[in-house]
Amino acid sequence: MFPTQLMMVRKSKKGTVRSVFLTEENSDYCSSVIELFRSSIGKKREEIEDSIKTLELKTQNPKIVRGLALILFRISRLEPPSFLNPQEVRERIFSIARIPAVSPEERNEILEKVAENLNATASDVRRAMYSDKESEQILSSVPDISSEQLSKRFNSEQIETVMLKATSVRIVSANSRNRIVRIARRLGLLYLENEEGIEITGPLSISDHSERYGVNFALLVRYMMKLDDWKMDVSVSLKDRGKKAQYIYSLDHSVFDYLEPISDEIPNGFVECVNPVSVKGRQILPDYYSRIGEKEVSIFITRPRFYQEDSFLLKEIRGEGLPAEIFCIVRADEKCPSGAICFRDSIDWDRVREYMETKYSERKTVLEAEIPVIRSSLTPEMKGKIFDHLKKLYPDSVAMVDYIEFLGLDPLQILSEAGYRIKWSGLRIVVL
Amino acid sequence: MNITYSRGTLLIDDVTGKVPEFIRYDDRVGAYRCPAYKYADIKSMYPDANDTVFQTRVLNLSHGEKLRSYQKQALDYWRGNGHRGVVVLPTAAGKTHIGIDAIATLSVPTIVVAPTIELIQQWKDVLSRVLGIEVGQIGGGEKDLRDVTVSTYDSAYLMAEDLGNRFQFLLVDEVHHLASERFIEIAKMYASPYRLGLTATYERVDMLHEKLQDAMGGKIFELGYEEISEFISNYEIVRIPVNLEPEEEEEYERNRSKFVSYLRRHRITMRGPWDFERFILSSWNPEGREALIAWREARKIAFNARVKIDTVRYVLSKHRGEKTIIFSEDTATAYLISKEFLIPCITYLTPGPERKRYLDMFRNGDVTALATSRVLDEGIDVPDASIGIVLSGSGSTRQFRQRLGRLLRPSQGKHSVLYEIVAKGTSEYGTSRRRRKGVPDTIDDGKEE
Repeated sequence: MFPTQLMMVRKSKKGTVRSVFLTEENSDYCSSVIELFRSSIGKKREEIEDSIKTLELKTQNPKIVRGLALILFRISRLEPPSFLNPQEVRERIFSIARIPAVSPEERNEILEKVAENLNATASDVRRAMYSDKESEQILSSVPDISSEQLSKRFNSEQIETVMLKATSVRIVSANSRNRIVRIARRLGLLYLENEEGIEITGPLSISDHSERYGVNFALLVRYMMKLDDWKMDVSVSLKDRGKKAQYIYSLDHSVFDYLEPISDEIPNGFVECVNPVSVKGRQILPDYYSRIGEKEVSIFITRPRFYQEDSFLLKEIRGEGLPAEIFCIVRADEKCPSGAICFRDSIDWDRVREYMETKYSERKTVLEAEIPVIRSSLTPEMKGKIFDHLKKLYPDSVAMVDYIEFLGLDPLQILSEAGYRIKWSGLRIVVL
Repeated sequence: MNITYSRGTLLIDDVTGKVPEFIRYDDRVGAYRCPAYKYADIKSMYPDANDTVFQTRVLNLSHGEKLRSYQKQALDYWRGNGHRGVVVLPTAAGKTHIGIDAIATLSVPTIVVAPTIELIQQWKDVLSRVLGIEVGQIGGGEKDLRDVTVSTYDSAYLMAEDLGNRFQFLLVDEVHHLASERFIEIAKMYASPYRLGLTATYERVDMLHEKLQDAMGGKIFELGYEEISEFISNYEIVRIPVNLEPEEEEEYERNRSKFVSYLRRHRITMRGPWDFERFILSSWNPEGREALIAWREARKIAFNARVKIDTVRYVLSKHRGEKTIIFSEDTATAYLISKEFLIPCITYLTPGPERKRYLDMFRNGDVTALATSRVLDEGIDVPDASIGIVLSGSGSTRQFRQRLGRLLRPSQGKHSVLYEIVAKGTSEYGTSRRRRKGVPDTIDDGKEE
């Protein structure tokens, strides 16, 4: 994604915008910028920036030069100009120079003292003082990239840059609806399906044209690059004569062929949902379903911050008398939402299978007692098991709280029931 | 009825009867939804609802600080306004103490949001010391959540979805920044029923401060320099005009006329920041690029005139050993000064721990001068800093007042001087005149704290 000021769009009076793409016709831009970089090996970034400014003056569209240069800076290798550690150099200088060195003699004296300690010269020290600044870095190599590759990358970044300003997206797709919904959900976006397609927005969109979901929309497009048969109309918020105005930005699958397709591994025994569940006239699309005996159980996979919203969907499906389950993936620094069934980092599909068989199968098995980690309601036996495990973890408060939260239970309640006294330290619980 | 927090919004289910306009039915999840900042309204509308938005806890905080009369008055107004509102006081008037008292009075989980890493570190230090607690920090490479946590605006914005129901009290320092299009979402996505904004400069030229009425409770208390002069240091402002060297002057004129003739050809008149934005937007063509480069060159010459460096040398020699802050508009000049006089430099590029180290060194007197660009304009509290040098700056009165404010913290026998070094015959002269508008040259009534 480029900074917004490098976005290149044509606005129409009808309220639409379209990206200005690089084609073979203007491949000169790419070859000039690539050439400038290749001939600048050994130069400071600051010097290369100056050459780019000069090149901008010679071209019709300076934004293209700036955008291409930005890509090349990102993929090229730049190295610091000094062998000394600049932070250490600064630390040593300022520890000696309590009063500003106003005369050249004072200045040299300090630099030489530091140089002596570092086995270097005063000039080495001077050069190293801010050698970690981006502008001081030296270009050491430029990757082998063709004009065509560079221009495609530029176009791709242009699309993502427009998407940063997106406030909502409407997608029509005959074959990839479910996959698009799944991607949107994973990105924390909300969706509404109807006959016209899928409308994708963020939570705040209910009251505001928030741009905070722009990055998520840009990622959505990135994921969709290899899907076929889709068309989208994006509402984008762009400045027009100093004021924000909403425009429609349209794209379809014919635009893209740049990035790798997403890989979506579906576990055995689980099937990607193709048909949405119809609830009170609304179409809700779970992620997967699994057949347990005669029952087809809908499955939602969610993340802690989306759990609350997805629980509402679950409640609606269950309200229709249909079986449905929700599982939550938590990362290392995340807490399991209260009442949720959580897994660390990824779903353990075998455990999910066991859980669902236990819950929905006619024949109850011993498995019920063996899977406390994913149960949210507790039997006395389960409590006993948990309390035993807590004893083993005591006095490691963090591990104890983590364990309880991992089970989707309330630490305060469980610790109190298990007979522990606690105190709060900040937002953390300490078991006494 | 259940009220829950979800990603900067409140979800309300099982709603019966008519709902106000700000609560909308959300088809996407099958529940009612509204922005989180409406929590206090929702609570008063549905007092019997099952509310799981916050985990309510009392912290029992206290402090031994003595408040000045106007600080107590400001807090009374705030309490009277339902613990919401913005207090406007000049820099160095002790806004932090008002914040501390508000935190202790409420004694609920609190987030203090400030614009820079220096400011959050300063809040963290003072809160730890005065309240005797461990204070968390989000931003500047840290993510340590505690009952009382400080955060940069950027981190508070980025983490709003997750943090919006963690803190019942939202305290925003330099709250005029909150009104921007991006940061106003912090106010909207946090459910905090208690809110306090602090600033020296409430009004914005773009009028966006009007948004703070709904989001923070609006301006509830204001005093100017004149009304609190007995509590701040005496000061004077000294303008030092310097001449460009002949070749610099020639180069300046050449670039300046290139820029001005572009403006004339395109009928652009520079009356304010909007006109400059218009110029920037129009400059994405070879002619415009040339004009922009010429403008940058002319500015660089005026900012970095060789004689300015020598004038800094003169001022530093004159006030040898006195704590001095050298302000510039751009980072390049700040680094130039740092290299020339071997003094620490703090810009937006300086990593968090290094910034803290330099400020600590400056506070402790291990170094007596700091070079900085705009990042130290606001809120940095070094009571015995008495000399300021404005090497370059914008025409903003707000920036000038803020920079001046760095020197106004009272301390025994202190007399502060703010030097402005301005290149004669350049547009800097007009810029300097604009920024000093309405700022009295001295406050000297013979009283000191």
